[in-house]
Amino acid sequence: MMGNLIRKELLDNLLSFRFVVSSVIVIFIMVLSTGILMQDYANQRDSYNQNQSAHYKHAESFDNYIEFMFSGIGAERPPSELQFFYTGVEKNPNRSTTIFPFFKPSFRGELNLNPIFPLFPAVDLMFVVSIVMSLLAFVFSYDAVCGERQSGTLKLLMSYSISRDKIILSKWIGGYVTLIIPYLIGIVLCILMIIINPRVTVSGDNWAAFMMTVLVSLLFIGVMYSIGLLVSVTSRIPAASISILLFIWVIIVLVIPNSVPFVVDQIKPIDSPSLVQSRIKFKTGQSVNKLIDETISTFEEATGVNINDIDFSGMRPEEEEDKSDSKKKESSASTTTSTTKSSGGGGGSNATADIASKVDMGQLEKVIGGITDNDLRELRLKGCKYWVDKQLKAQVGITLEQAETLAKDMGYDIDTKALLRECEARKKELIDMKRSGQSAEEIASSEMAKQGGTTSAVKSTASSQPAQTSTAKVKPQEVVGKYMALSEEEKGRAIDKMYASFVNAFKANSEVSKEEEERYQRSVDGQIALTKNLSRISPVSSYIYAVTDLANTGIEREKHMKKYLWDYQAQFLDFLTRKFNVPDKERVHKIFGGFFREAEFNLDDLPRFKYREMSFAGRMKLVMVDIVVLFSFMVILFLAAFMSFLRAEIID
Amino acid sequence: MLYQIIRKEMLLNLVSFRFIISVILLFVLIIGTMQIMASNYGRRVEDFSIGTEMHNDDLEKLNTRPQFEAFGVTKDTHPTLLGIFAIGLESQMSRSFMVPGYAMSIQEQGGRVFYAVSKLAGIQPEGSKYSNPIFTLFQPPDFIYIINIVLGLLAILFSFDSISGEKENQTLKLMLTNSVPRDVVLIGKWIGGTLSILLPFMLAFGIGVLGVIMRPSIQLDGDALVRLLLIFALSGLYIAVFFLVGMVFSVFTSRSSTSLVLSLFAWVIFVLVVPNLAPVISRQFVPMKPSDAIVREAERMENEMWHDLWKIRNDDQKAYRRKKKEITEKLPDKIRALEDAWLRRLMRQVSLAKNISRVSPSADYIYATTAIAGTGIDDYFNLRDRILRYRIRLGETRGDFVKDDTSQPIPMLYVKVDLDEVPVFQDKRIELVDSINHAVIDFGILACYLVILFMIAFVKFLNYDVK
Repeated sequence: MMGNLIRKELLDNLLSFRFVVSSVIVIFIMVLSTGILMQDYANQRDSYNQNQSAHYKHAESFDNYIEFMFSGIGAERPPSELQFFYTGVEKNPNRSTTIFPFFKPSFRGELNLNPIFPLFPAVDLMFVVSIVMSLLAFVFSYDAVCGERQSGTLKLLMSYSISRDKIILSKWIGGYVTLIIPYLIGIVLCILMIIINPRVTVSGDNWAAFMMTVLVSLLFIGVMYSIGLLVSVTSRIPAASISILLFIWVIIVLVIPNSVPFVVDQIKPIDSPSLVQSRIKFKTGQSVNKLIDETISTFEEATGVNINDIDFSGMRPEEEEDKSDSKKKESSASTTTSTTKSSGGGGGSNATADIASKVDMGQLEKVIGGITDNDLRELRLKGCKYWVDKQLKAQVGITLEQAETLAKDMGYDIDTKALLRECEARKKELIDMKRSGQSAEEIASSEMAKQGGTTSAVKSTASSQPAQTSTAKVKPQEVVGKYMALSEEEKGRAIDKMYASFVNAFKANSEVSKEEEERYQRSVDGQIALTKNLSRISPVSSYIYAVTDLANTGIEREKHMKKYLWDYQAQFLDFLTRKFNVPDKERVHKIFGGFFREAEFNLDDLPRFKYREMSFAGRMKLVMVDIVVLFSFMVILFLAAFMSFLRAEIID
Repeated sequence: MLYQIIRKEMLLNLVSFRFIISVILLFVLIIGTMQIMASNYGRRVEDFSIGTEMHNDDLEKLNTRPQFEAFGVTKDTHPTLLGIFAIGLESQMSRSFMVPGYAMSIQEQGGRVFYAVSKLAGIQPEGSKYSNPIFTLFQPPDFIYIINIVLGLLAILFSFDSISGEKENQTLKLMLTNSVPRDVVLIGKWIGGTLSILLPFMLAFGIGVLGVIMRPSIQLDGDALVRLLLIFALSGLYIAVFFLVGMVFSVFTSRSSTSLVLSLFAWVIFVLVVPNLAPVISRQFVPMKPSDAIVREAERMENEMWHDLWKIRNDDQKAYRRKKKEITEKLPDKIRALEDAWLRRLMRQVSLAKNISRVSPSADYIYATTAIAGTGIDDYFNLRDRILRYRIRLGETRGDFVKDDTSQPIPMLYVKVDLDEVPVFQDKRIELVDSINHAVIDFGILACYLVILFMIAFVKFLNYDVK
């Protein structure tokens, strides 16, 4: 009996006009988009190979490591093998980056690109399933039950001795099978297209992943069909059911997946990447200063000339003399003081101490001590007065003005202006802290360290004082002459030291940028996790996360790729270190007019950028959650439809 | 009579269940997304002001020359206000970009030739403000997304049975037994149907915009209001076009279920498939290398030039100088030719993609609205050109704002940056008149669609079999 019922459902559907049209739509879009995207992928792969070898060709056009190092080596973003089915993040137009020995790279962007790509979403298999198939699932199911109830055939059917559960089950199976027929035909055609296209090859892991995405798609279509059936069971007339379903469709397909990332960006904001860059720049200052100091002292040792005795005024005469009017001098003087002040560290903490000693600390601590990182946004936007006012209200229950008059009346010594100054100082401190990405303890400890030892900045400014008073000046050319006159052995020692300073500085910079980038990555991860969890209320989001991650074009790929890029950067740094740390007798290549020597320029062992895709098992692990979510949706929705049909009223 | 038909259409729609659902959807989506995008804009502005402050601070604090050469000057681009309604290319435009010190050197001072002439090199865009990869995965839910996708669909759902449905109910026959000309019936149906979507749309738009204006951080000036009104008008036009799409299918079929399936098919093709495949197709017809490859090629050319010079350095001095002059003079032209060819190709790819996709009213709508909002393709290129000019200006004025720090033992290793002298990056957007100029073609195409579709429906309806 059940077989008959399913057969009837199937025939009903297969012979309908909507089946013909929807099959044509689905298969047409699938084949068309796959065909176009496949060619596009093949082109991208070719251009990836070309560009990658162009990077090495470019590297070979140098003749010394120093220039090559500062120009960096390019790395290309490899296209993903299944991106013609699931474009995902491969839509990202930023496809190449430059690797420097001193920073952790990422695909940051390009100014010159075809802007039409980011303007529209991609049309691929994921699109066909998540948009077209989900719509069709509703088109096929909206009248499955209520349509028959309206036309009276359901009543007739129930007059036979068939149990209700069989009817609803066969309705589900019949409808679902009709729905997936065009999809499966499309998939078979797509597979054929891969097989006959000589420009495209798919690895075994990716075949498995592709088959898995087909299964996940079937599961997702089942979820959507169950929603349709549930609504159809519970509505009176088909017109109502299609309206409700379209409403649901718009919300779960078009709105939730797209809106949640923006909502999460509001409730869990992260720093903009340029802030992270700014912090890295700031933090690299230390190692660069150290590098300069070390280089100077190496030079001093080699030539025996104190750096302060060299007269550099002759180097750029026109600049200094032309613009020596008083205004310029003033402004440059103020810049110097501000620079020394800021590089002195702590950012205004002296002023803070002064104020703090004058006012009643007990009262202030309460309000100002409570400022944390989280208040910084408000402080920035609305200013200190607003913030102090708000805090006083919250903690003591009075406004700033009231506090002022109260203090006057009671004879307390509360200076509200000092309160605001304190707040400003604290704000500045926090901003400094935020930009350097340090926590309060770190700042404190680094200040302690600064008082103990001497930082490079302090040292250099201190040593600049005698430079102006000393009279015995040496011309820079003479010093260079002295250096050039050294024996090769002595020069070698100096060069050894300079290389060591270089390598140390690069390593320190790499560490700093790694630290910052990792911190940033953690905040992005937090945002992604929240976005994923929130948007999973819509099965479409789960579906998109699952198939893109399976096809290796998902959010995880970005992360995975970054790891490889960073590894490559480390290899590049290693390569240069190797080239620098050679015995002095191998440094035969004279550069910069014999001023410097390095090993023969040879790129044979230059590491190549290799990206290995995540394994199928690894990808499965990532998407398990989404598959489980989809499966639960399916079971719950089907049971809901089943239950409500069991107790549905058949006769109107 | 016309008035009565319009009234009947609207009343009929008003009492229908789908109308209620659509109105709820319309209000929730338009008002909700406007709020989301407005607070997103607020955050981007905050990012912008913090970024600007930090980047100025950087310039003061980066006092060694290596750091200046590597990091140079970073500027932020201000987010576009009307991006709240049409976010368009904001994710590509709202970012900071850095001009490293080495890219500011101009040729006369012994810098690399290609930084002096290049239109592609020397600018490093930093990560977009939308750098979380999850933003790449989904389209941003702005106002024009809602209109383009959801309202297009709703318009079709309101019109697919306007003729064929009445035929099925036998009411069409009844109506025509009165002395009503067929053209009046069709016009009445069209106006009535379109109005019954447009009225709630206008209301939702009004409330949504009010909600946005009420935010203290957002001020719409006269210019922005005019642009907003234009976006509104375009949206109305777009909805009217899609209403007609449904109507045309309704006139050509005799069963409403057929016309529903056919118009959904048209919707999928027009709204989703054509605009999205067009750029991919154009990329196949006009394939091109990434700009990075061109920059590297230019750099390689220069490297090779220096090698050539190095090889002949021991020649007779006179010959050497003549040859050097010859080679160095040729290089800028060679680099320019290389880059111009690439840029022309890029523009060809863009305009090909644009023209292919213009078949779809949805693409026309997006081009027109983003152009008006200041987030369109022309705005993107305008920004790119502004950044390029800024880089060149930095090169020209570098000597004025970067000085050796004479208080240091080796002044040339340290720099002092005079913040007041750093050239200002001007936020010069495309003027309203020019924006309208850019949008006018797409506006025209949409209007043509309206006329043509109406003519088709009209002609077909005149000999429509009502029985």
